[in-house]
Amino acid sequence: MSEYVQALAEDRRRREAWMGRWVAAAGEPDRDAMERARRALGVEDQHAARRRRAS
Amino acid sequence: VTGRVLDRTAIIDVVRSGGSVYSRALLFTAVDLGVPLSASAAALLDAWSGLPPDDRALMDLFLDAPALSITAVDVSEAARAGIRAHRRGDQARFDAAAAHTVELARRAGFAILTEDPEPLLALDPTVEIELLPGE
Repeated sequence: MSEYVQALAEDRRRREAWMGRWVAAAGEPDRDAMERARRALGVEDQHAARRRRAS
Repeated sequence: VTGRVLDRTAIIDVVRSGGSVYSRALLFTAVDLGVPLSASAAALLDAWSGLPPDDRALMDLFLDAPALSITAVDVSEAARAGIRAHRRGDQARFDAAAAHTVELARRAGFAILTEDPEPLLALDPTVEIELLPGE
């Protein structure tokens, strides 16, 4: 595995570990609010986009 | 994809009990997707001063977020933010944390997440604002 791929995997592990700690301390984030946040950040949620197109 | 700069009010909103679900969702989403968030150390100081003791543990966890970078107000940051804020806003009520927050946002090209845009817009009416939704 290249150093780049290893670094990506390590970054993902670190982020998931933090997300687990956050959920344990603050609870699950609100799903609707997360979708709003994704849109605000310019990240298209593929599942939401498909639902929008289908409706 | 674009990041956000969090001002004092947004930092407090993320970590205080009873804060908006949106600010926490935005933090979580940013960490999940690797979207950068930043804040001024001066805004962080303001936030610590306004945070009830019971919410300090969550502040520590917030500060450990992989997506988050805190920028100290060192000599060069002070010069940049001070020069940008020169003769802007009400000098008698100058807000150093707001000035550094605006500087970080302009430099990175990020919007500022806030529930109180007035001190920021007084320093730079063109800075992009994302207003925290009232809940």
